[in-house]
Amino acid sequence: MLAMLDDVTKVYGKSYGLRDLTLEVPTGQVIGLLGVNGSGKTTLLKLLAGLLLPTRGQVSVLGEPPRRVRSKLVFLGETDAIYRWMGPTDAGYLMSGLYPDFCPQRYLALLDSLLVPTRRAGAMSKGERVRLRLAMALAREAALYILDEPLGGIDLAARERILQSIVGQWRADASIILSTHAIAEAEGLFDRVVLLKQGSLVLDALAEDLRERGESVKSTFLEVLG
Amino acid sequence: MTVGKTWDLDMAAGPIYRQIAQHVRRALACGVIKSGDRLPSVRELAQQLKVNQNTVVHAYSQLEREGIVETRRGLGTFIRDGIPVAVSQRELLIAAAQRYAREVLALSVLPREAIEIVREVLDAGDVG
Amino acid sequence: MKGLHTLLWREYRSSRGWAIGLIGSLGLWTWIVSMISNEGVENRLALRSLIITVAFAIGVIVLSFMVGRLHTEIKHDEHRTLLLSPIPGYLHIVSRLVFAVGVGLIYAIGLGTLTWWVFSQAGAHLGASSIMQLVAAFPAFGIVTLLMPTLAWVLLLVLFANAYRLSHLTWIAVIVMCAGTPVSLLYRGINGLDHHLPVWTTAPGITDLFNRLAGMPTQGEGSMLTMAVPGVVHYGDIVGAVLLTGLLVFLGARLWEEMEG
Repeated sequence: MLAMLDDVTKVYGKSYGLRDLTLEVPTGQVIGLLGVNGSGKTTLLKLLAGLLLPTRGQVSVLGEPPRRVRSKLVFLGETDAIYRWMGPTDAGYLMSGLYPDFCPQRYLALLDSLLVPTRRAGAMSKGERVRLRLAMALAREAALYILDEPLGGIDLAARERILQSIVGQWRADASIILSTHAIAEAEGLFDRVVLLKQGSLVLDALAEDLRERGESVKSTFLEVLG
Repeated sequence: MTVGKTWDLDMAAGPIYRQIAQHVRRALACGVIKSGDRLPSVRELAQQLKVNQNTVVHAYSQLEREGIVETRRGLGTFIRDGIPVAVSQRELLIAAAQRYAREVLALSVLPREAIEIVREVLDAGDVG
Repeated sequence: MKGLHTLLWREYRSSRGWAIGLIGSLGLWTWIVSMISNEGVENRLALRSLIITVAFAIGVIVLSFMVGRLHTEIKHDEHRTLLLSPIPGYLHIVSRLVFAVGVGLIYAIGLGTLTWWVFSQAGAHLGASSIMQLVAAFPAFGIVTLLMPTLAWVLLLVLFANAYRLSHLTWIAVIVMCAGTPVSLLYRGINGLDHHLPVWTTAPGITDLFNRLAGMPTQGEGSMLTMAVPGVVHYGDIVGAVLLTGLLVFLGARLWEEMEG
């Protein structure tokens, strides 16, 4: 088991971000985390990354609290910003210096396939910035990739390229968990889908099992949460 | 074999691995690929279709079980030698005929009339 | 060490404008000081020294703001890449401190040179060792004893403000909350070491000058001149400042390691 949330509850003041959630992440799996806004997806992903601490329960990655093994995980947040003065070359330099598992060649290849311009981040569009951050993230050789809305606010053509990059970077000794609203486009990527509703887990199923029953992930989503 | 135009994968039409395997069989039956041809690597095909690599592996395993492909270590996945294309063609046509037969029965049309219609359509070359 | 090198580079790229601005302001101070042409050596010297003192204070304030931008970084989640890097927390703080102190040192040496010029103009006979003391040593002393702990304190406050705002209140945060008083007490206590450590006295040329300008106090609080030129350098102050900075960096590092992102 690569990572696990064990009966985790996260409370924000008076409201529940996550409620009694248990989730196991095996190695080599791509998990789609689905749910409407506010259902707890970002909370779950941040807990896995060690950016939040659970109110109750335990989170472990490779058997330890995530912050302790942060060198083995990658987190790509929705709200993350990169320094405005950084261009792709600067970002590559920063990543190589900070992260030993960063692969410069893979980074260059990703910059290429994601069509990241050579401007500084402050002069890029939001979508271009997301793609730069994605290149920075996927160029690392980590055990767990945690991606929060990597397709958010991106145009259609770029979404295709992003999905292809994520597919291409998959390895059998790593796992990917990502949240998205672009279910129809992204569902082919998922080995498994996890649906959240108001902080609770309402569905955890293998994608191909759903399709065996004649459903698609999208139709299941609409059925369960519609 | 190239996945020239994006294959039509219907997420609601059953498991993807099965659809991929079906596409390979169809390509074989139509002569788009032949014995000895190399299929795209798992990674290439997964990227082109934007599906999980495991799914492609599953599809290729299925085809291997059926004896249509073989995996040569380090080289890739290849269509086996001596696959009788005619058999694949026949299988595909039988499946199409079954779909036609269901329509025919549902509309309570006589078999002779049904066959006549097929002949007309093929002669006219109008496949809609 | 590659980590520290990269962090310093990041700091440089991020704060380049501020550094250049501050060091460039030396030109401004020089110009202002040279414009002062009061009657009377004493008045001129006093006014010029005041300006240099103000310039130094402004330097501390500007560098505090420069370093305090960490708060904006955290607010915009720009720090995530750093926070989740394998690099230990204290290096993130040390790198910011080193850069700011480095800039401060250059600035202070510039002000020290200006001070030397001001005193020469007033008639002080300054030998070679006095020049070195004025230009490098005294400013360096001010940087170490005043700027360094101040910046470490600013960083700690920023981290505390961000960590406390979120739900997870660690024991570190509680200690920091109460740390204000003990820290200043600690500093005062360290100064007691003074008695056991040697002392480094001012340039003789300046003391002569002070003596010639009758009625000017050479030591003690409230003297504008001695703010710009300390009469004596207490090694106890330096030790105290370094220890205090070390403590503040340690606390900041703990906060960094444990704060929620």
